[in-house]
Amino acid sequence: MSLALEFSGVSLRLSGRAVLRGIDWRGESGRLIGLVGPNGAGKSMWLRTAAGVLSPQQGEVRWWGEPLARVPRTRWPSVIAYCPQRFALHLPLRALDCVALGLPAGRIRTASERERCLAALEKVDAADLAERPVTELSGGQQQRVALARAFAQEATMLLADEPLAALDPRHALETLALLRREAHEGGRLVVVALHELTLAARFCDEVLLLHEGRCLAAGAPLEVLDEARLRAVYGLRARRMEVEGETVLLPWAPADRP
Amino acid sequence: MREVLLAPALLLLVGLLALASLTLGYLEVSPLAWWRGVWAGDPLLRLVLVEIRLPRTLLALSVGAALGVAGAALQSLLRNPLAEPALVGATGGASLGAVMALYWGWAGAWSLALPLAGFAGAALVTALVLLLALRGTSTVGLILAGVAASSLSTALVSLILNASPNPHATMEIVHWLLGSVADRSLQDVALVLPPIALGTVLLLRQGTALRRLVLDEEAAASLGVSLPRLRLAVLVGAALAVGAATAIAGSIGFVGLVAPHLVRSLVRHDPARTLWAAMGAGAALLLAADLAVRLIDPHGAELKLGVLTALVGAPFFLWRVLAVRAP
Repeated sequence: MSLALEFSGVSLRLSGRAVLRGIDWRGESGRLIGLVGPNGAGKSMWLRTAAGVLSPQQGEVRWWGEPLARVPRTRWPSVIAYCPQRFALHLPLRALDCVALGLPAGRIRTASERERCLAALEKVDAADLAERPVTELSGGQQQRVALARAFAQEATMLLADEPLAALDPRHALETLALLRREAHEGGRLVVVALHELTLAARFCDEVLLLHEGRCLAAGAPLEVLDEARLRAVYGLRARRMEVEGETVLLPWAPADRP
Repeated sequence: MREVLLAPALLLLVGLLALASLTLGYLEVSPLAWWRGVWAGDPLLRLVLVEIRLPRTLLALSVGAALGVAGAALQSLLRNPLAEPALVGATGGASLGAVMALYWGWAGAWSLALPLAGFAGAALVTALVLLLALRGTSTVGLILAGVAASSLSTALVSLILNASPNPHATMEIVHWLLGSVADRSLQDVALVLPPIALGTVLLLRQGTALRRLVLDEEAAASLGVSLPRLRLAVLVGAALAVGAATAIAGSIGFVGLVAPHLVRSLVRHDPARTLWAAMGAGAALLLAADLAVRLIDPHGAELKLGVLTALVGAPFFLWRVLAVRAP
């Protein structure tokens, strides 16, 4: 494990509004990180800043110790893969061609590159969709193809913005297990923005709790998502229970109601 | 399979159309006699070939290619299937410059004044669009800046027409505005080919970036696409190619809009290959249209190229509008 992604004093303002305030964070490779926080907490902005899409006014993001502004853009695809929340294609590309956008040339040039794309689709259980126009797929299918596109980059870091939002429960579980494997076995740093606190607590090695652009806490999921913080940040009361030897966190009711 | 055949098929089509464009015209000679005469060195036929048909063919080819590739690049950049080259303002600017040259009589005094004034107009209006567009960061801002600049140049052209002192000058301006590649010299061709070539090369080099822009702008940026740089390159490339094309041929509509749509499904909607294919399709379309205006009524006044492309293009445009599905 080594230091992959580093935020030091990162502040970001968008049209005059502070969306990230003084974030310090270090993420090591080989770990699955859950980025949690209520709507508008700054999760998407955090990910976009980490991916180099947005440049912070203050502070610095470093990839493998190197300030990201100094990493040549041609190297970006092999360093970091970013899978945005919405998957808005403006042309009816085939799923396979869409996955190939993550390749160095943005298209399949060799047989091994074709294998790489098919393998990425296979990973997300979408191999049968390879020839279908992405614009004709359902929301969940599109989300899986989008994730395959990020996998095909074979980057050292993977950032995904709510990758479970449109998935059915089975695919959601499989996807998180897959992301954890990518981190643990593939040695990547994987950061996912999540609203599913139960799954975040179960699968992530670490969660990072954002609130109003600040990083409130980072660490072991069940320690970070304690009663006081859930109440303060989400206004939420959660239950904990033992299931098959694991502690499960279950959002139960708004904190101000019985 | 059809993808492999597309490039040779387009090349063959453009080659055949160019050959037809060199062969068919207003002389009452059969094609066979024409080429036999040219081969034998008939001075009149050679003069017609070099001074009339060659510039006309070269212009139809290069103007069509410029419009096709610029239309494809802009549709990809703006993520909008209805974008067309006129949107960058270069068409309006070139028209304005050329109309000024006609109005003040510079065009009569010096034969190259007309295209040069067109260049200057295209450069000015494009600079205005760049200034407006590169301050903001959104694609919508870019479209609005282009629309605003185009409207302004159209308004100024109308003002000049309004102020035009005599019907002859007005006729001359209107005829020029309708668009044509007839009666241009090799000198004109030499003048506009370099900017068209430069702009086209600049546009073709953006293929990979435009391909990645099929994803939304954030995902493309995370793949290393610098959006401000891509916008600048496409705007400057389109302005060079389309500005030069308009400065010499007048405003020819719909080719830039239609050409990418004709080839898109043949290249599986890949924006990079659409650039190449649309370039070929644009050249073929304009060569065919220019042949058609010659052949429709060989004894009457020639139909203007821009009129024909609009007549054919407008219904196509309507069909596209109806076919574009709501997101």
